[in-house]
This record gives sequence, structure tokens and C-alpha cells, in this order.
Amino acid sequence: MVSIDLLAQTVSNGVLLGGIYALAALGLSLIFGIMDVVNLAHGHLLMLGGYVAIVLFTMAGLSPLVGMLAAMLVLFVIGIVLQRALLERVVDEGIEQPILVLFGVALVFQNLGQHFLGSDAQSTELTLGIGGIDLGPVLLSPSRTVTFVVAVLLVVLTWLFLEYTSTGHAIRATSQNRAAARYVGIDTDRIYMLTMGVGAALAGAAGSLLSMLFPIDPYVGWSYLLKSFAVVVLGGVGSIIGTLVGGVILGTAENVTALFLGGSYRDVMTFTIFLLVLLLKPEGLFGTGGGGE
Amino acid sequence: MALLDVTDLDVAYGDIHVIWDVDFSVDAGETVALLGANGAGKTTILKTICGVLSPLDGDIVYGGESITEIAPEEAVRRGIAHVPEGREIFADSTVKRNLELGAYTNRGAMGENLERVYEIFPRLEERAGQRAGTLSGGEQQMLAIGRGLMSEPDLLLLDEASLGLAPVLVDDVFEAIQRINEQGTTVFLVEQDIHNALRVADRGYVLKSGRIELSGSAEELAGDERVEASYLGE
Repeated sequence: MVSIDLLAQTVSNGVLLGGIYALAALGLSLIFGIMDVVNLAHGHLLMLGGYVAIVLFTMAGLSPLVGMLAAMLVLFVIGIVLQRALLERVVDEGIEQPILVLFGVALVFQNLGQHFLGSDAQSTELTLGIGGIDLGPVLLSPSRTVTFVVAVLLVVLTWLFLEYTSTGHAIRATSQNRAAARYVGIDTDRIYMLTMGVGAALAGAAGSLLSMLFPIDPYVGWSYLLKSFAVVVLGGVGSIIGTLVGGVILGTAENVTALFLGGSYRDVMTFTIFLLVLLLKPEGLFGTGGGGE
Repeated sequence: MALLDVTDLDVAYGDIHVIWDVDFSVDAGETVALLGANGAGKTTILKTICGVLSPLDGDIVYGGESITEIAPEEAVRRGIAHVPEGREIFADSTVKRNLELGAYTNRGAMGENLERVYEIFPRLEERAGQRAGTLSGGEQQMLAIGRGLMSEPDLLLLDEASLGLAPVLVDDVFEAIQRINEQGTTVFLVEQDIHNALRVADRGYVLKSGRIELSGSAEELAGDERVEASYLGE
């Protein structure tokens, strides 16, 4: 029998984890919403972001929060290079070709990781001078709280960028109607590069944050890709609030499943949510059910 | 000197050659119509001028400089606005945001240009906060033209501005085109509606199967039965 206190603790941990899931999913959602590209390498970009923080932490003793900023920069560049070198050639050729290209990219990243970083799981540690937040039955651990706050902050900053800057407006215009965007003078090739860069940077940030809570190995990409998919499907493509809610629901559902059925059932829960949403409400909780075109 | 000077233009889609040796020019301040049946290549020519398509051969000179291989965003910056066929608006954004996006390359005089567009199309001001996708066909066409004007162009390219509109709205649109031209913007319009196009235009060209078949002043063309014949095949 599980005590109420333990359940409350599990749920609160799940909510906090959900913030990072939302951040990971936001990048996937942006790339799909704006470029119509299903980024199968998204989980592997996240894995690389985790490793940037891990390498800086183990080699140079840098705080993983600083590592996260470095990871975002590195992944931003990787995203742009991916777009310029590979995706640009296939992005308007239907949905299948980018999927194949990105599947290949994911495998390359996984094998490079295995070769250069080894197969052993590694993690970072967030050392802060503060204790957890005690809420009676629930103790919010410092690392879980900080990673949640940073993740939500990044989600909000991304939203502000899209909503209130002229570049953000140009990105949204491009996602609605690429042809019209070109006619008003928006360089849509540049917008696509920026989108891949930002999407990858968000994945990288999520990876760094996750490295403070869980070990990262070169094979985690597929699992986090699946979680990101589930969140996007759950929240609805193009809805930032939906992504946040979706992340929190997934994080909570996973943790509660792990509590009652054991940790190995986490991904089963993810799959179940994924399939149920597709079956019952395919446009997602906050989705519009279709793009601009 | 002509504002726009096109010589020996050839355009192909892959292996399919659609525009052959086309020559024409547009002087500053004029309204010039490019007429022709569906499939004659009118839209192709507009897309080539504004940089969406690259020509196989030939020269496009605008304001004394070659713009033959220009990118669309650069064309907008140089003062060419293209109002595409089929309206191509940002359906999920508000009317006002659509207009603001029209000023993407020229945000400096946004307020003035917005006022000018609202003056030409008062309906857009009434609908400023509405989602563009909910506008009627005629209003969407006004929005597309208004968005083109927001970059304060010297040359406005209009592709089938009246297509699919109710007759009373067709009159409104052509009246707006006349006003835009009177305010100093050069207009190059592509039309299937011969009658209205020649009413507002100074001169015209008739395109048939990718070649210029006839050209002349609007009066000459309006009285020339070959113009209508060119729409009906041989």
C-alpha cells in the first residue's frame, strides 16, 4: 500500500520533471509547426546537449547551469549546420525525406557518442547553497526545483520571442504561409535555419537539465524523442501552453506509473498516452486541428 | 528611362519552356496591363520579375540596375511589391498583423503607410483586429493589396486582383488600383478581365503561349478584336 505522502511526493516530482519534458517538446513542436519537418534526431540532439554539460562538468568542473548555456550555443550551431548541409535539400520534398535524413543523423550521433564518450551513463550534479523547499508532506528537492524553473523560464522566453519580436512575427508568418512570407520580403531560408537552431538549442537545454537528475548515455535519444512526441501530441502542435500542460501531465503520469508498477513501465505509460490521444483527441488538448494552409 | 525593362526573357519549369523571348517595359508612373488567357504565362512573368523564379535567359533591369537573379526579399527591399494570385494572406493572424508583416522590410514609416492603406481600404481598418482567414474574398483581396503597399513600393505587381470577386467588388478593386497609381505608384497588372484592365491601364501587352502577341495603348488594344481572339485560341 502506497502512502498518501509518498504519492504526493511522486506527483510533485512528476510535475517538476514535466517542465523539462515541455522544454524538450517545444523544440520538436517548433520545427514541425514551422518547417513541417518531423525531427527524428530531436532526442539525440537532447543527448548531445546533456553531454556538453557532462563534459564541461567532469573536465572543467563547470556548473551544469553554465554547461546548459554552452550546450544551447553548441546545439544552435549544430541545428543551423544540419539545416544548411542536409535539410535544405529535402525540406520541400514532402514529409518522408527529412524523416529519413534525420533518422540517419540520429544514428550517426548515437554512434559518435558511443565511440567518443563511451557507453557508460554519466550525469552532472547541481550544487547549490540552498536546501529543498519543505511543503509539509512534500519536499521539493533543490535540483528538481531549479531545473523546473529554468525549463519553464526558457519556454516563456521562447514564447515572448515568438510573440513580441519582429523576427518572431516573421517566423510565425513563415509557418502560416511560406509563399506569402517570401512576397513580403522575409528570407524564409534564414527563418528555417533559425528555427532548426532554436529547436536544437531547446533540446540541448533540456538535455543539460536532465543530466542533473538522471544519467545520460548515448542511447537515451529514442526514449526522449518518444516523450517529446507524446507531449506535442498531447498538448497540440503549435500551442505553447499545451506543451507545458502536456509536459506536466506526462511527467506526472510516468512517475505515478513507476511508483505503482515499477520504473521499467515508464515508457509503456508514454506509449499509452501517445496512442490514447491519437485515438480519442488527435488534435491534442490545445491544438487548433490544422495549420494556416 | 523605363522603371522596368525586360528583354529577351525566357523562363522554364525544369524541361518545360514556358516564356519565349519576351520584351516589355514599364515607365515610372504608368499602369501597364499584361493580358492573356489562362496558362499563357502571365503569372510566370510576374514571379520572375520579383525573384521567385529565375529566368533561363534574358535581362530584367529595374531602376537602371539588373535584377535578373535577385532574391525575392531583395526585390521587396528595392521597392517591388508582388500581390500574388489567390490572395496568399496569413490566415491565422489579424488583419493588422498581416499589414505590419507587409512592412517587414520597411518598418520605419509603418504608421504613415498603415494610414494610407486604411484610407484606400477603410474596410480593413474596421476589421483590423479580426483574423484574416475570416474575411470575405473581396476583403482578403483588399488585404493582399494593402499588405503589398505597406512596403511603400515604387512598382506594384498585381496578379489577377479581380479573379473570383463579385462584380461590385471588382469595381472597387479597380478603383483602388487607379487611386494607388494616382498617388505615384507604378502598377503592372496581370489580368484575364480585359475590359476592366484596359480601363485603368495606360498601355497593355497581350501574351499568348508564352510570347508577346500584341502591344499598344489601352485604347488601341480595347478596339482590337485580335485581343479577344487571343483568349479563344487561333
